[in-house]
Amino acid sequence: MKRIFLFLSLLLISLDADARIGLVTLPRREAVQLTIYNSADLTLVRERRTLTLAKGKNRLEFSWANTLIDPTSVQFDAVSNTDKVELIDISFPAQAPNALVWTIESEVSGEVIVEISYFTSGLTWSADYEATADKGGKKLSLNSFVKATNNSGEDYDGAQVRLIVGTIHLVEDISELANRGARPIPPPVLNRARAMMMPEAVASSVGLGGRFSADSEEPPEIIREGLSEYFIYTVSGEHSVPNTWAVRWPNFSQSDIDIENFYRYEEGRYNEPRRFFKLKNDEAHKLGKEPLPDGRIEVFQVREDGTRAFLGKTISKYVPVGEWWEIDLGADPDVIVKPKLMRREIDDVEFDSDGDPSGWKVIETWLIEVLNSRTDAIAIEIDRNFDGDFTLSQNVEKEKYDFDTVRFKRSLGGGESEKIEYTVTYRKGTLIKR
Amino acid sequence: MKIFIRKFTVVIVFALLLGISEAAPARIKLVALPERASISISIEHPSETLVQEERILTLQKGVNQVDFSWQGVQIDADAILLESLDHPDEIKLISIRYPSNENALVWDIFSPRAMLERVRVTYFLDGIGRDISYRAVSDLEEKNLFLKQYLKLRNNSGERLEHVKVYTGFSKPYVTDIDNGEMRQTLVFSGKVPFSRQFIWDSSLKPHDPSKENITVGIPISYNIKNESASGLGLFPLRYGKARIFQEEQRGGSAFLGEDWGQYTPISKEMKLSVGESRDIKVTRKLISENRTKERRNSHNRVVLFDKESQYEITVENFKDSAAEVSILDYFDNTWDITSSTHEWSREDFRTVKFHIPIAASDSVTVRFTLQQRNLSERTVLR
Repeated sequence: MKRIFLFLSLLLISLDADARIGLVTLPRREAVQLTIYNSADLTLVRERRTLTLAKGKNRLEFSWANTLIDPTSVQFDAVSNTDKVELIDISFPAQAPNALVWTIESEVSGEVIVEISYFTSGLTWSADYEATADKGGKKLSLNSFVKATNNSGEDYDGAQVRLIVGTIHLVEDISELANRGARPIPPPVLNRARAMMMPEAVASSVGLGGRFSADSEEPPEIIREGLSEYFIYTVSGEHSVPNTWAVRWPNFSQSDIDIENFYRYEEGRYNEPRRFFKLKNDEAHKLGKEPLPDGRIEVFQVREDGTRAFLGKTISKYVPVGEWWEIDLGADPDVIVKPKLMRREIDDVEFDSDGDPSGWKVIETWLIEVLNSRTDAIAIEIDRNFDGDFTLSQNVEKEKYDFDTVRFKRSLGGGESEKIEYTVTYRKGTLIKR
Repeated sequence: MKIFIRKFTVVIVFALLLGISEAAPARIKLVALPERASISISIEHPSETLVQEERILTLQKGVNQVDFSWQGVQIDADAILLESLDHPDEIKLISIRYPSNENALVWDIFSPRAMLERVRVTYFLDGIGRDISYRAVSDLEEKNLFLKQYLKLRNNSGERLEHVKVYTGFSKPYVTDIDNGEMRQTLVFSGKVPFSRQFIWDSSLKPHDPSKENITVGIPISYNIKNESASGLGLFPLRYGKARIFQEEQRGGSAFLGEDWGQYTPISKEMKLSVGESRDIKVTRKLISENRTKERRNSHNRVVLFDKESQYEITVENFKDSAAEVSILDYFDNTWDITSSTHEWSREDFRTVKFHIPIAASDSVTVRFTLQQRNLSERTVLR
C-alpha cells in the first residue's frame, strides 16, 4: 500500500499562512532506488519524479504517514535545470506530523526532474548460502542468495535494489528517528552521521534512472563492486518489493570448489570433535572475487542416487577475500577424541627452612586417542590449554598456538586411529620460573 | 503455477503465468495438478528431516511463476530449494518472492522454450520423530545374538507420506507409507552377531567384603557387540536406542534378561549393554599389609611427606557351571605404581587399574599385587 505522497501546489498565498493549500498535481514516482544496509536497520531510498513547476515560488508537500521514514533525512534535489530550481525552505507543519512542505523557487515554467531521498528503517537484507559437497566430500558447489525484506510500511514497485555489505556507524537508530518525528530536528548529528556512513559513490545519483532496463525474461545479474570499506551488490532490473513481502535473488554460483574435511577439538569450547568444511575465499578455490557476507548456510552432500543428505546448517561469519572459511557442520560422533590423564606424579619436592614442602613438580602423562571411524580421510586440530608454569615433552609433534595453548595437527585416513601421548611438567611453589 | 501442501494430502497445482508484471503481488489461481513423481525423507541428521520430492513441471517459454504453499505443516520457508534436474543449464531461477503473512513462496523461473522439466523440491519438515530400538536374543551357548534393529518413525508433520523412500544413514534406504499421526516401526537390520559377556566388579561401587553383607552382592554383566564386519556389522554406526536382550531356552521360547540404552557406537567401537547382575560370581578385596617408608619430618617433628607400600588381595569365585570373564576395576590416588602382581593389569587412567580375569567354571582365582605410592602427605596437599 502506498503511503508516501507528494503534492505539488502553486504558491498563490503567503507562505506565512498555516492554512494548507489545495492539491494541484500528484507526480508519480518514476524510478526508485533502494540502498539497503545489512549492519544496521537503514535504507537509503532515492526516488525520481517529474514535477511541473510554475515560474516563481512553488510549494511541495511530502507526507509519509504509517511508514518508518526518518523525517530529518528527507532531501530534495533538482536533477534537471539544477541552476534554475532552488530549494528555499522546508517547513514541518504543526498540524501534519508526518509531512513537510518544501518551498521551491523556479526560474523555469514546465517539467523539472527531481530526486527525493530519505532514510527509512524496516527494509533489511540478508545473505544466505546453499552448499552441496560431492559424493567424496572433496568438492563443493556453492549457491549464494540475497534476500530483501520489506516491513517499512511502503510498497516499492519497479525498484532498483542495491545491497551494502559493511559495517557503518550510526549515532541514532533510524527507527527511533522515525518514531520521534520531525521535531526537534537534530541536523548537526544526522548530517555528520550521513557524511560518515555514505561513501561518495553510494550517495551519488549514479545509476538511478539509467539502469532501469529490466528484461523480465532474463535472470537479474547481481553486479558486485567494492567501495572503500563497503561492498555493493546491485540487483539488475526493476523489482517489486511490496510492504511485508520478501524477495530473494540468486547471487552467485560456483561449483568444483576444493574443500578439506576438517575437524576441531578443544575441551571447554568443543567438547566433541566438530566438523567443518574448510576452504579459502581466494582464486585457488574459485572464489576470491568479493568478500562473502555473513549469513545462513545449509550444507548437503550428494548421494550415489543424486539425492542429498543434510549435513548441517550454521550462520557463517563475514569472510574477507583471502581469508579461510570454516563452515561449521556441528559435532560428528563418528570422529572420537578422548584425552585421558594416564599418570599424575608429584616429584622434585623442595623444602623451606622449617622443613615443609615449598616447591614441587606435578608431572602429568596424557594420552589422546583419536579415532576416525568414517570412511573418508579427515584433518584435525586438537588444542590443549595449560595453566601456570609448564613444560611439554619434546618427543611429540605439536605447534605452539599461544602462551598457554598447544595445537596438535593430524591427518587420518578412513577407519584410522592415532594415539598422541605427551608429558607436561608443571612447576609449583618456589619452583615457578615464569 | 502452484504447488500446494495441505494437511493429510499433498496437492500440487501448477499455474503457468507468463509475462506477469512483477509489480502485481496478487496471488495466482490454480490451473493444473501435476503428479508428484517421487518423495524421500532423510533422517541422518539428529534433529532435522529433509524432504525431497520430484515433480514434473510444464514450463512455458519465458518467465514461469511456481507458487509453493503449505498448510497444517511446519516448513522452514527460508530453506526451500528448487532444483532443475533435466536441463539445469537452461532453466534459470530469477527470484523467490515471499508473500505477506502466508505460508508460501513464488519461484520465478525462466525457461528458454516450452518444455517438461523434472524438478526436485527440497525442504525441512517438522514433526517427524524417530527412535531406534534393538532386540537381541542370545543363543543357548551365549556366543551369538540374533540382533534386530528397528526404526520407529512417528509422523506428526501434518502430511501423509505415501510411498516415501526413507534414508536413515544407518541402513539401506527403504520405501514405506506413513500417515499423519501414525507411528511405524520398520526392521532395518537383522543378523547373527557374536558377542562377549563380561562381568564387571568396580571397587568404587561394590562392597569389598561381600561376606559381611546381609544380601548376596550381584556383579553387573554387560553384553558387548563390536561394530565391525567380522560381527556382520561395521557398515554403519549403531545409533543410540533401547536394547532388550532375551535368552533362548532349552525347551523353546526365550526369557527376557534385561534392557539398556545402547549408546551411539561408531564403526570399529564396541556397544556395551548392561543386562543385570549375577549373584554366582563373588569378588572379595582385602588390604593385606601397609608400610610407610621414607618419612620426612619438618622442624616440629611432624611428618610432611612419606611413601607407602600396600599389598592387596582380590579373590574372584565363580559358582557357575560355565567359565566367565571378570573385569576388576580398582582406584588409587596420587603417585602410584604396581610393582608386582600375580596377574596382568592395565592402567586405564591416572587413578584406575584394570585386571582381566578369565575364570573356569566352579573355580576361584586370587589376584595379589603390591602398590607403591610416593610423596604422600597427611597435612599438606601437593597439587
